[in-house]
Amino acid sequence: MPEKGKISGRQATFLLASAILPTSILYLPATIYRESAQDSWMSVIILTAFGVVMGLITAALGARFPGMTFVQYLGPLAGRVLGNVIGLGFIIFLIYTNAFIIRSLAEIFVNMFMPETPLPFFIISIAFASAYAVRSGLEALSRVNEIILPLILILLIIIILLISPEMQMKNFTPALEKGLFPIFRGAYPAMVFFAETIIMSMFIPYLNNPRRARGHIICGVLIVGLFQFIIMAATTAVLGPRLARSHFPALTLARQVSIADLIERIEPFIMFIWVTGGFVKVGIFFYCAALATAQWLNLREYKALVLPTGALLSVLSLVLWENFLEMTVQAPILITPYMLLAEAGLPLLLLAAALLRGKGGTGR
Amino acid sequence: MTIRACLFLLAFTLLFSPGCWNRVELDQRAIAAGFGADRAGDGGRIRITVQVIRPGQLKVGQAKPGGSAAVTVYSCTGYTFFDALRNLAMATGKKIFIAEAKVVVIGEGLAREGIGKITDMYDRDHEMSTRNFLLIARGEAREVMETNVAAEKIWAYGIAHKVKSMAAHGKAPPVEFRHFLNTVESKTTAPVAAAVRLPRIHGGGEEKGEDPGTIPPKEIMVSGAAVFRRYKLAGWLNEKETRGLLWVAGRVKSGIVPITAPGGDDGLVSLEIISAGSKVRPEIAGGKPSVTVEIRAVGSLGDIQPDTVDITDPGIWNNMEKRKAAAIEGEIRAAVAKAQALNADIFGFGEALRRQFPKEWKSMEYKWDEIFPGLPVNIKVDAKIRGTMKVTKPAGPGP
Repeated sequence: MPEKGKISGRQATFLLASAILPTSILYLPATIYRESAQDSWMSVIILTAFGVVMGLITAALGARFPGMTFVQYLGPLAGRVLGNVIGLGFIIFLIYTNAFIIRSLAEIFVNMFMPETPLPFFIISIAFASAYAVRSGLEALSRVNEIILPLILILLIIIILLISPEMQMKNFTPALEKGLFPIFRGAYPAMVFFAETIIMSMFIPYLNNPRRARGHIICGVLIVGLFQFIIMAATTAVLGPRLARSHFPALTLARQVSIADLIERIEPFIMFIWVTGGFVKVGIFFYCAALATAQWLNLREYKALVLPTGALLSVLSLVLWENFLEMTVQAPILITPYMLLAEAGLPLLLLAAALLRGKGGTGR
Repeated sequence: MTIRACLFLLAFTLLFSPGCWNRVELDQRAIAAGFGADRAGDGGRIRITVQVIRPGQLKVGQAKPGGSAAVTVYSCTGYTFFDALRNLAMATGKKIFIAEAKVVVIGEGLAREGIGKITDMYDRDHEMSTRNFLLIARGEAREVMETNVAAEKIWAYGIAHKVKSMAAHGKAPPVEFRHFLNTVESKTTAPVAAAVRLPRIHGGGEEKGEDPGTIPPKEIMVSGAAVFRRYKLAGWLNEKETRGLLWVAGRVKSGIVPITAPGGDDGLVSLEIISAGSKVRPEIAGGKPSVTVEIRAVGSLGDIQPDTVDITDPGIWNNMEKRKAAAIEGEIRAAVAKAQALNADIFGFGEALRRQFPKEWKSMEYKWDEIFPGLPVNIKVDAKIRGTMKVTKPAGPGP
């Protein structure tokens, strides 16, 4: 068993929220708005429902194979060869996603705050800091997250309250101008974020009480959905059509704050959310990648894999994308189907296989 | 133990090496207070005029009253806004720091060509704030930026105060870059910006040989509005039309409505606006769109010329309210007439129709340019006069 730590139910909920929220609140408003326009808030409701379904699938799989992580039950479920192939695919998915997260965090710093600082500097800093967290183990990561996530949520609420005088309800009308279809088109690239729920399958065995995993996962998804909804509505109300062109809607939002010429330029709040939330998010995916690799190779320890994985992540996040536009505008169109296949299609297929072949316990 | 000591020392040195990669000390920055942009010649170049703050001049108590300035004005050309901005460093010797700027004035010539060159960078660059005021000069922006604004040591901030002063009179739109950018996203709504003019006061300061710093020889005024079609300046609104526009937008906060006293031959009454609101109701009847604008204005009587009318008479009072409503309607009519003449939907009537009638709108959107100039606009003003302040009748035996 490479991981000996145990986490509480609340820690699991928070881990899930931190695995999705930090980057989703920053990018998704623009991604969704490009398609759904003033109806974007409806897309978020669809997304949350989708996230809940993903949570149910993840929990059902976990319940059928108690004490096993996603990578471990691939073998018994799909056979040794196929299981190993799928496991490798899952590890590649984790590493690719993490490279994407690291790069997008670094791009924010370069684009919005320190344009002359080289990109690798941020990438290596983020990778190194999270490598340390991952080496410290699951319990340490969970406890750090227990401090950081509430702070992030409180800061978000403060920002929304400060910007509320600028909100214009007319930005939500006309509802359903182009029918229902754009709502689903807006939700589609964003599903990648909500399908990240699947990484909980790596944590279920380490819960104090794995039987109650389902409730904790759904709770985490609902936290994400609620805050995503709030941010989506706030950015729509304040920015309107400008939202579609924005790289960092939450930052643009924070920059609009001006209360009595006194409280202005509160983007350090957003910076705080990115630095801390991004660090935890990277840490979670990093941890999953290292643990999944260790279990895939049947190693006793995952810690030896942390630094090599970190180096791989740093390099990948630098070389995979030429520029930022490629990531925010082109990548969502190109990689969404593959990502969804790995995150949502695969678990669904596995659950179906488990049910049909009667593999694993019933979970009752 | 040795390793721990080394680590501690290493961490300790961090205390003395803070800061970020591209940190710049304050004295290495030329802090801009505001920009002016003009076209320079016919080669597509633009001229940027910048007011750079001189922090040394900002000390309290040292400055002479009036004319002391805490800015230096530099001017430079370039092919684009950014290009010109960087070229400015050739004159200032320091890179321009933009985050503290409050206003951008664009010259009429450049505005007629299109101000997209300026607005895009404001939208894009991380250092600029889209909360900066956007003003269009009726003339050269350079001249505006070079003018001493007596009330403020940092002249550009004085211009910003002049824009904010609209809260007292409602005769200039307080348009920030973000408002302009939001509006230009619309397919039909025409953006506006505050206009700034440069009247010369003849016989002032310089001619009498006085210290030109004490009495401003000329003072700039922010009044009226510039109307755009997309990024290009299409025309101007005068003060009356501008307030008409702001009535419809619901952005009149205060101001004075002068009316002629009822019955009195040419006695004038000032009515102060205390609060105002507006509603735009689009309608479609028989496939023909129309718009009803409802204004609610509450105010008080500010002054009245003695010996004209008896304001304690309820009939007179009602009559005055009607006259106030007619005066406000007149301002809106003027604005609508000018907007329709320019074929620029500055009120966002098209957007109002889109929100209310999304289905019917689809067939109107592409021919809005043909519909808008003839769009029937009904105006309903509900004007109330609530009080007469400290006294009832003006001093005198009465009419």
